[in-house]
Amino acid sequence: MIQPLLEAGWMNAILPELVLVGGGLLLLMIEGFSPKTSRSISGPLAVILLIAATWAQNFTVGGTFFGNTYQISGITRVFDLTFLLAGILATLFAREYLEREGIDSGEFYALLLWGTVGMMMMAKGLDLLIVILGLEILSICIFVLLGYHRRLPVSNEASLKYFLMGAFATGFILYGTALFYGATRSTHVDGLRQYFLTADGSNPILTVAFVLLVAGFGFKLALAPFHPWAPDVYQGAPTPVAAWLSVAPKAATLIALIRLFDAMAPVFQRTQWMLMLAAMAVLSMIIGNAVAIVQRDLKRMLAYSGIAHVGYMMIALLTVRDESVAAVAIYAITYALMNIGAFGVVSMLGKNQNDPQTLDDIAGLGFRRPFFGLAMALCMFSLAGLPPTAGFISKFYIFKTAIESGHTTVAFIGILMSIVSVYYYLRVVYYLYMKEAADGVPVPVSGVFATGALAISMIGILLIGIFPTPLFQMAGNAARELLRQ
Amino acid sequence: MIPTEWFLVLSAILFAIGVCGVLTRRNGITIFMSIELMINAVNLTFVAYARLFGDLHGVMFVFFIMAIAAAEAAVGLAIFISLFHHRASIDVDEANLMHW
Repeated sequence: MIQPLLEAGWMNAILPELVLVGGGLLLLMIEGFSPKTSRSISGPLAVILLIAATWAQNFTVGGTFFGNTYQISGITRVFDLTFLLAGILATLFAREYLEREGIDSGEFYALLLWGTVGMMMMAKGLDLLIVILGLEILSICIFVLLGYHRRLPVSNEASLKYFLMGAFATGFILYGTALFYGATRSTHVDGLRQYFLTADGSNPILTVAFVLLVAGFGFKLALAPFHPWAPDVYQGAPTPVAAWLSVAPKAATLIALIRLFDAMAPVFQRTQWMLMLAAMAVLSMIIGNAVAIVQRDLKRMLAYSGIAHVGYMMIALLTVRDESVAAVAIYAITYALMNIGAFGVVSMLGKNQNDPQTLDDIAGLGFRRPFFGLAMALCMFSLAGLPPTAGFISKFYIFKTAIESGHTTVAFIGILMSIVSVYYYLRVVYYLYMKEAADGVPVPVSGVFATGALAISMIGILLIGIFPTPLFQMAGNAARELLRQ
Repeated sequence: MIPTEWFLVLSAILFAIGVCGVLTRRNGITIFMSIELMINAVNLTFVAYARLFGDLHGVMFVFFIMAIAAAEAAVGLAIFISLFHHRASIDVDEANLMHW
């Protein structure tokens, strides 16, 4: 039977994506015809477009589209909101950062919007083809954004490192997909699920394919032992881009992996594959937290802490259940709020961007810029997982689901490691309030957009931390919907 | 008809050569060529399986991979040009401003 390629209502289904793609083109047109106008309006316009895309979520209808390759459901909406939130926060911080560095122009925001579209495709793709296309749209935008501060050698170096590593990882993902196609005759999640219901997992090609795929996605997630690019890339990248990169692509990769692992669930019980994932999660938590302790560069410290946080999220994915998917979704939202907030404060330090932004640069910030200091301290408390912040409740939920799934040892290591992490997060707070600023350290310039973004993340962190129930119910319902079909 | 296994072994060898090239070469362009070799090995795998199964899905995948590789090449070469502006060299070992 020949199905129509475009089902009824496809336009509504991808309305958020259409808004962002069209908006990106609009930004480029403005930049092309009137660079002067572009410099003044493209930042606010990008925020408006991202909010419009969020609003457009109301018009999307659940279901599968484009020949059963594109699924809109509750969980994709939750992850879409995470991507859009990350985009809005990064855009707000970028506006004043780019202005200060004198590199403000429309294409920056256009690339950010298109990268968001790539992530939405990764979250909604039922076929590995769609996931890989989304991943590549995202990656190519990231390559350019990382090198956006063209005059800075470190920015160029970050772009180079991410490009070589990213393209290398893409090769692994593609080869893994090709071998899955050979073994299962399908690259569709449903096809894989059908196959894995009966497969005993003894086919060596399948194991090779799985390892290649996990290695490739591990690169994108900065999961140990595929993490070494992360600190260098975050350090060299324009800080708002590092903020966005440290959160949104990880969330997109995780939702793609959730679908994949869900389809593979029967094989996980018969093979050692899960053990490999558990080992990677444990390694990430240990390496991330241990190396973060010795970092004095704030961006490198946040990079290693990011490696550890991906480790926490992987614990929940060892067994894909309703609760674990919901836990990862909530963790992704929380992580977006607190990590972009922390990077945002770093982006406002008015220092030469070619030099490392170290702990000494935020010494005494709590008194020189009380609002920035407060925001940074709250983000650090949340990253450390201290109550009453969102970081506490989402970390608690992750470990709770892991223990309920029977991964007690891994969860225990995770709890132990998050206690270790308190040391280096609180060291930042110590520098904020207990140290005097050295002579010649510039006072960060405050701006409306960055202040607004920090307010959003602080309110979000406290709101989720104190009233978590509505969000948990929403994510839980969305996760049940994902796994039922 | 050439057995499918031959194609698969050839593409596995090409992929391995590509990986070795990425790991051992220091010239940026050569590394990128090695990555292209890996991606073309993947294309060969897809086409071989598509021929074996007699369906078009694998062939369609190849078209998309070629487009992806082209887009990556465009951005990648621009990054190398920018690197050359900064250092008058595309030796990736010289890009070592950041390390702990």
